[in-house]
Parts: sequence; structure tokens; C-alpha cells
Amino acid sequence: MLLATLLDFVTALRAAGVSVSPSSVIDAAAALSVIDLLDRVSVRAALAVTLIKDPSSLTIFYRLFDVFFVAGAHQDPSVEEDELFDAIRDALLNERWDRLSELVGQAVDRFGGVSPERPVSGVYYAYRTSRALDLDRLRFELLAGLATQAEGEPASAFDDPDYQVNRRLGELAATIDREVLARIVEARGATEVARTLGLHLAEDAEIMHASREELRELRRIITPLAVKLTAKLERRHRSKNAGRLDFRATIRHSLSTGGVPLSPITREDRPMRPEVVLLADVSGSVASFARFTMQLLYALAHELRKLRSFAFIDEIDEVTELLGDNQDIEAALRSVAQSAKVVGLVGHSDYGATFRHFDERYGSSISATTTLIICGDARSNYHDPEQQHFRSFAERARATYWLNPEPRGYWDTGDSALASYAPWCRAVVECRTLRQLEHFVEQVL
Amino acid sequence: MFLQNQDEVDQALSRVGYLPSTEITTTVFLATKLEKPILVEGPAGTGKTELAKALARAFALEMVRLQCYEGLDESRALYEWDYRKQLLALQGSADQEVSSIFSADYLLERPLLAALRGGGEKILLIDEVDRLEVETEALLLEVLAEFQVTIPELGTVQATSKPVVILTSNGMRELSEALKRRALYLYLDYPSQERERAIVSAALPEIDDELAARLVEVVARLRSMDLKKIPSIAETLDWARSLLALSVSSLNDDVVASTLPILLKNRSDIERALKELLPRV
Repeated sequence: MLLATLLDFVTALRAAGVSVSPSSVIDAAAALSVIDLLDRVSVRAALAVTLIKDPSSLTIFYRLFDVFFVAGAHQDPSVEEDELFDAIRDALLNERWDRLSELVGQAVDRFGGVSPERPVSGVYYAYRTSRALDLDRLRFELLAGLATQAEGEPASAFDDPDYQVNRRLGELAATIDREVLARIVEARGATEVARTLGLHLAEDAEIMHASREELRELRRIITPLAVKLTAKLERRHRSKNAGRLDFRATIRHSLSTGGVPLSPITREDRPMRPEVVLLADVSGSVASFARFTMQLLYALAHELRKLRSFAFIDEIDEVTELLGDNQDIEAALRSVAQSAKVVGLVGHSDYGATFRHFDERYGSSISATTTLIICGDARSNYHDPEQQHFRSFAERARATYWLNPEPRGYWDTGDSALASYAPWCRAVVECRTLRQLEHFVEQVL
Repeated sequence: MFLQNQDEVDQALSRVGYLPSTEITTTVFLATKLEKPILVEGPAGTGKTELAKALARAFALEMVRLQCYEGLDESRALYEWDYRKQLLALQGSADQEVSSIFSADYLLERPLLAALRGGGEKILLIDEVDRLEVETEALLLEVLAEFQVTIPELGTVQATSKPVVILTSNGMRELSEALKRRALYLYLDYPSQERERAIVSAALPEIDDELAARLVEVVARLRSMDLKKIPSIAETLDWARSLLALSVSSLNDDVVASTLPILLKNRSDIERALKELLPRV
């Protein structure tokens, strides 16, 4: 019975994109045989450490765990209907989360109107429950309650009542979702519910269509990726120079073995700082992608010293300093939007004009040690692609890569000018998800 | 190491001043039951290395530590032949047989071998394993899966008693699937407010409960902000110590503003925190 649940759980994890190896499943089963199965937190920990192998899968793991291993009994008949509101308010005020679960469970039973036949998602029931609880009144009473609690203490910005109330209401919303979920699972079965949740890893979110929430999540992953990319570039530069014999040091060292040079000593050249030039399309057609590439640029700007970054629409402007000086990404993005001159006459992407301007003004910055990376969809609104300019600097660079946020099938359709530029690139890579970017960093670069 | 249940781990660790979460106790317990290494990952300063040290203290185990770095190789991690001793032996007696210089007498133990050989239960800490190059990482696999080391000239050295193995990683690079598969994966995030409060109280028994609670609250809010370097437990403790040294009994805006640099190491982070949290100061 338990094993069957475990296997269903693993199937759901895999369906959401989390890779779980067979040996992990065996470990998980072995783990369940030695721990106390009635202790839900232990069971969760045991499954997490055996099944999950990277932090970005943990969020999905927790969501699905709530579906497959539903929390226990949640009935508490001691509260009368008209006292429910007050009871929930008091639980929030005193941060009694266990009690809150019980109470919210009751509220969901009463107001949610969960009926298994209706094919609506949990959001509807959660909405009905929170509407019945009258959140405005709750907020007001919580503010009042906190004010009474805080009386007499020195006032501090950290007592900020709005922050406190929002935190607690956030907890309430999460509890409602959990309780609703538990009831739907009861009615429809875990596997079915897991399927309708539509979970996927942040790495697999399509950047072009990512929600704000997802972009935020991506940002957490992108900095480590920039670190990885930097390390990768540095290592490659270094490996070319490593391993030259340091003759003097080898002889000196061999004295301790009677003049026999047992261990040759090699001199490692100082790691070279990689030179990278990045051109990013920031036009409206790739708005989400642009935001994402700017985040990547920002992360890189703080890792790579020899990075020059440029943003363009139909004009190109250097943004290296705007990104590098600003310590805060939001401010950096704002200043790019305000002070970088990326729009010329038209305001629509014009790759031809962009590359001509780049070649004229910054062409000299490209040398045989430069890695050139272009991020954009190559949709040029039927302007002249002017590939001779692109060719002139792309050929001079050590390597040129093109990251395209569009699905491969759309390339070279309509106003896409990709075909005009692709011959001068070492690789044109589809880059719609973070996983693809990661793949690019690890395999292609 | 034989353990009955997680509570034993909890009590032993708490005794030596390391307050574990359920995740930690469960992982340690499972590691001893399933005889698997623990791979601990997470942001800096969340107590990864400290966990290994605390376990060594809690169960009175000898700790062998392998600090990883780029360029670490077999001769630094596993074993090395003592060339000098071998050379001397050959020069000393002309008729010395060549085979005899490859014996245990001429073997220099490095941490991985040392953790397997010799008596007594040990704890093997392989620190910052993500600093190893991918190719070197494979060195560890035999030790981690079979608790043995194969030396071509000597044969296989099997562990006399299996050590508890803890690997730490700061996530600088993705570790190989092979390594991850062999280990239990523990992600140590920043602690919950409750646990951090307990950690502060355990480290500084003289601290006032109210002050500890508020201090942890401030740290939690800083962590929810979008900062370049989020304060870790180590910084929370530094801050708590400093406040005690300054004999601060209650936390008001001025105190926070003037001591913020203990928590945040970045000028821009400090400015940002001041602007967002304490606009009046």
C-alpha cells in the first residue's frame, strides 16, 4: 500500500520534470522501512533526502508531497459556526498555525462547497472560502489586535504592522490552499490531482511567456548559472596554457631525491580573464526574454571583469557600466531603460541597422580573443539585414554564438533574418528555457 | 555508529550545541542505517561544515577532513608512495628486491585512505567538493560506494569500520549524477525563525528571550529582501554577540541602523536595508 503510494508519487515527480533514478527509489523505500511512518515531517525528510538531488526540485517535491501524503485529521467540533471568524483571527494573532489548520479545515468544509463531481480547480473553492471569511474585516481586526499587543514597547520600523498582517494573511491563504487541496485529493485521488496541478521546474518555464512569479524564480537560478559560465570560460582559457614544465623548480625539487626528477613541476600561467561581448535585443516582441537576458547580463557583469554588454532595438548602446555600477538589479534595469539609447528612428527591432552601428562604433572591440554572444529572435521587421557588417566583426571574433528565444520551427519564417547571420555563427542555439541555457553553457560553450 | 532512532541524533547534537532540524536528524539517522554518505548543499553559513564537526563531537568520533580545491589529485586525496624512503631503501641495500618497496611501509596515507584504515569509528568530512574538477570527482566514487580504495601495487584496502561520510558543496558547479546517486542529499536552507531563535539562545544562554526573538525577526526580514549577500546564521550570532557586548537590552531603530554592518557586508546592501526598513533614521 505504502509502496504503491511511493511509486505513484515518484511517477508524479517525474511527470513534473524532476529526474528520479531507480536507485533513489530503492533508497526511499529502504528509508521508509526504518523511520516512524506516523511522523509526517520525518517521512517528508526521508523522502526528500533520498529522492531529490537538487534544490530547484524541492518546491515541486513539497507541493506533490502535500497531495500524496495528506495531513491527518482536521475536525474540531468545539467551535460554533458564529465563532469561527473570531477563532481564526485569534489563531492568526497568536501565530498558532496548527490550530489555524484545524479552523481553516472547518471553514473550507462550510464555505468552500467542495463537490467532487464538478470539474473546477481548487482555486474556485479557495476563493469561495476566503470570500466568506471577509478578509477586509480580518485585516482590520488583525491590525487592531497587533496594536494592542504592541502597546508599551518602543516603536520600531520592524514592528511595521502592515508587514506583520501581510505575513499572517499570506499564511492564511497558504493554509486555505492546502486544506482545499486535501479535500480535492480525497475526492479525486492523488494521481489525478497531481496531473492537473501542471507543475514544472523553473528551468523548464518558457522565458518568453514566463509570469512575473516565474521570472523572479528564474532570477534565483540565474546567478549560479553566471558563476558557472564564468568558471567555464576561465577554465577553457587556462587549460590552453597549463602544464608547461618549470625546469628550475623541477631541478630544485629533485635535490631531495638525489637529483632524480621524480615529480616534474609545471608552471601554471595566471588564469586569463575571459573577454566576452554580449549583444541583447531588448525590444517589446521579446519583452520577457529581454528582461531575462538583462538579468543574465547583470549577473555576468558582476562575475566577469572583461565583459562588455550592449542593448539594442534599432539603435545599439553600451550598457556595461549601467549594469556594473548599479548594485541592485531593479535599479540597473531602470537606468538601462532610461538612459541607454536603444531606440533610433523606428522603435522596432532592426538587426541590420543595429549591426551596422555596432560595427562602426564598437567594431574595434572585437578581437581574436573575444567570445561574442547575441541574444535575440532575429525578427528584423523586413529591414535590410546588412549581413556584411555582422560578418565583418563576427568573423574577427574567436567564436560567435546566437541564442534564440523562439522555437526552432519558427526560425527563418516571416521577418526572421536569422539565415543571413547564421553562417557566421559557430552555433545558433534555441534558448527558450533556463535548462536550454544551462545546456548551452555546459555543452556548447 | 549504531543508532536506534532520530531522537538519539537530536539529543546528541543538541548536547554539543548544534540544534538540528527534523531534516538533519532524519538524514543522519538514515545515513547510518543505509550506510550512505550525506551530501550537504546550501548557501554559505548555514552550518554544513559545522554539522560534521558537531557529529564528531557528539558521538566522540575521530574526524578526518579532506579540504577540496581545484587541482587536488590522487596523491593528495588518497595515497602516495614515499619516493624518498623507497630510494633510500634501494640505495641502502644493493640486493633489495624491487617488489618489496611497494609495501605498506612506503605508503603515505592521505585523508581518504586514513579514514578507511586504522581502528576506531571515524567521520570523514569532504569539504567543498564542488571545487574539485569533474574528472577528479571520480576519485571519490569508490570510497563513497564501497568504502574501499584500490591501490594497484597492493590490492584493495577495505574499511575496517565504515566511516560516517559528509560531503559539503556550495553549489559552485553541478556535481555528477554518479556522486549524487551514491549520497543522501540534504539541502540546508536558512533556518526557520523558531529554530534560529533556539540556536541563538543555545549559543548565548545569557541572552534575553525577547531580544533574541526580535533579532531573529530582523534577520528574517533582511533575508526576504533582494540583497547581494544575505546574512547567514554565523552573522546572526555575531550580531547577537555584539549586541550583548554593547549591553543592548532592546532593539530599536537606532541600534539596528548602527549595527547593521555586522549583518550585511555590502555597502549597497546596507544602504538598501536602511532605506527600506528604517526610512526614519
